[in-house]
Amino acid sequence: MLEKLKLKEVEYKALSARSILRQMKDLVSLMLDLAYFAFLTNDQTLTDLVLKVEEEINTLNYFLMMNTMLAVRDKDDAEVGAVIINMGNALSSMANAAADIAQLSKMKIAPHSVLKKALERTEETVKSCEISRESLLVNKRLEDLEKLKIYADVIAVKRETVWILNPPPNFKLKAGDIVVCRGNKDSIDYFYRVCRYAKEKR
Amino acid sequence: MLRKSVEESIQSLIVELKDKVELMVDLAYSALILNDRDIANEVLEMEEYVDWLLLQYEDAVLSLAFRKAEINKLQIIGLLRFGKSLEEIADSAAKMAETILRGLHTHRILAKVAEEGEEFISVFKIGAKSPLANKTIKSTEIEKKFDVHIIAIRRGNQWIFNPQEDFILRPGDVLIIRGFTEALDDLKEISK
Repeated sequence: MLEKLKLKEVEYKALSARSILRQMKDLVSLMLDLAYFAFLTNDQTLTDLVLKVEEEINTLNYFLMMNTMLAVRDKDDAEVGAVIINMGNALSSMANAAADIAQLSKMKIAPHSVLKKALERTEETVKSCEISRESLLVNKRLEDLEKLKIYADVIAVKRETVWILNPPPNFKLKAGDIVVCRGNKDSIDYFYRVCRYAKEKR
Repeated sequence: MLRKSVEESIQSLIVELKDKVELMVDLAYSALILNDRDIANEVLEMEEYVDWLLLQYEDAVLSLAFRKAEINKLQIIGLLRFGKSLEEIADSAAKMAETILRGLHTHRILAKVAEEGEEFISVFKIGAKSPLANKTIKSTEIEKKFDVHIIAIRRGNQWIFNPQEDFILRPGDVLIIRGFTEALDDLKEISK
């Protein structure tokens, strides 16, 4: 049985449409990547987190609608408002679709092997790797990765049993961390080599 | 042997669906940021293509299911729903782009939302008199000169993704390019 998600009560808060939309857009892109990954790895904790993010996006969408409605004064505003509300709704629907993918693992549906193979062949892929003791990345902050010519984007880290989504730039990696990142094949491959080894020539 | 080929076509369809849907989402944002009808139209056309892809995919998945009696039904459902969810994302991208075609003007707010990345994606159609026409991508040097990347080219109904350097651009080709805004204006000029 699926656990019932508790819905957050929404009360008007003054926020700018711009900041709400930016948050929604970032969360949707995070969710999409994590949803594929959660389904493939059958990770229940991560699935729960993806569903929480969906709930956050839906909550933000209410704030977006309320704030947009209050900002409308004339018919020109109304036209812009319609575009903004439409965008919020579209982002919400994307979040919904991503949640549906993540939720498959909750229904005891295991991913078929063709899906696993296919998702390794897409232009952008999401993969996870454990940071070894010998890794060059131990004690490195995420913001330092660029200097190491690592352009893959770290979207989540699992430290012991806790998942950290969208870790901040000053987040310091430790041995044993499981790092999930997204990028094109080359940058991901390189990332995984440095996760394991101390020195790596590119 | 036959079964393997069905699995392979399912794999390629998933790859194509996912890459296409991701491109559509990028393009939908771009359409809003640039208030660009061309891109919006492109997204709507791609949405129809995704619908067609989904049908091919579902057909292939069902072929796989009927081939073996002891197939895991839940896995088949998983594959079907996965495809359907991708198509729903494509629908949302199309819905975003649609406002442009309804003549509703987007607002600075939306441009600012995407400002952080500073990267944009845009569509260029190669005109008959364009200096880019009938040249290889390499010899036009646009990727190097403008520090942009040609993500895809549409010729007729065909999409070419990540075109090779020796690909020859023809009048009528539609180029999808990712780059910085400064370069995009110049590109629009020379692709005409």
